[in-house]
Amino acid sequence: MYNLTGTLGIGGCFIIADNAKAFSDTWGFLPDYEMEPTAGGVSDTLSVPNLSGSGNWALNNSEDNITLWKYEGGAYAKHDEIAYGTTQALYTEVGLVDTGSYSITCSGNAAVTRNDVNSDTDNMYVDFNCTANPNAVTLQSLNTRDFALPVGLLLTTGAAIGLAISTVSRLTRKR
Amino acid sequence: MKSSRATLATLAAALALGTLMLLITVLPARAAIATEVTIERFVYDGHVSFDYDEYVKICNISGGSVDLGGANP
Repeated sequence: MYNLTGTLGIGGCFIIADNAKAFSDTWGFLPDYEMEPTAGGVSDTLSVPNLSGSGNWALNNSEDNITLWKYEGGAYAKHDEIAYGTTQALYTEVGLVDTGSYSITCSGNAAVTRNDVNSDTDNMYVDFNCTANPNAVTLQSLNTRDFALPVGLLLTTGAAIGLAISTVSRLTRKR
Repeated sequence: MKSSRATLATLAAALALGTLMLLITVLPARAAIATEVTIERFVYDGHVSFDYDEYVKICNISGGSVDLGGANP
């Protein structure tokens, strides 16, 4: 489980990579955070903050979950979730009544991408879809928002402006 | 007298219409705030030969800034 910190501005996004150097080698720029700073035997990329937390991020691609947690009412609740894999993973996002086994499966290299970036229906099948072979996607072909610079992420000047919500979001990944 | 009643009726109708318009305006905005921060992309295996370039992209889709660590216990 990893802690997120800072303030995320309106429409702001940020990218958490497994390893900053590996991410940069593939995508051509550095991420906002990295989780395994020395994965693959590389030196830590000091200019990229390490996300605070722990967990094994080695992938076998048979069952990968990403869960965004929100701390509210004295407990953690699932806020958003992707379950990927050829092995069915339990998908229990808040608001989803049926808590059976769900997952999105992609073949080969793939990205699970939100269909409507401004919507969250709490139904993974509605919210996400596979994008095959993301390695073939060039940066030029991605829309601006796909790799927009984070807005206000590193602002640590006390209270957030606008709709200030006191939350803790946590990111976990399960093999 | 007739004129006063007509004026009152017009005002009442305008008030009702205004309330309806307010509801139409407010309800979608409240729904949009329900989820503040979402996962937008999860690339699990972009580069097979060096398997650590996976990433997650997280975005704020609310109408305001979100403090991600404000209540860290």
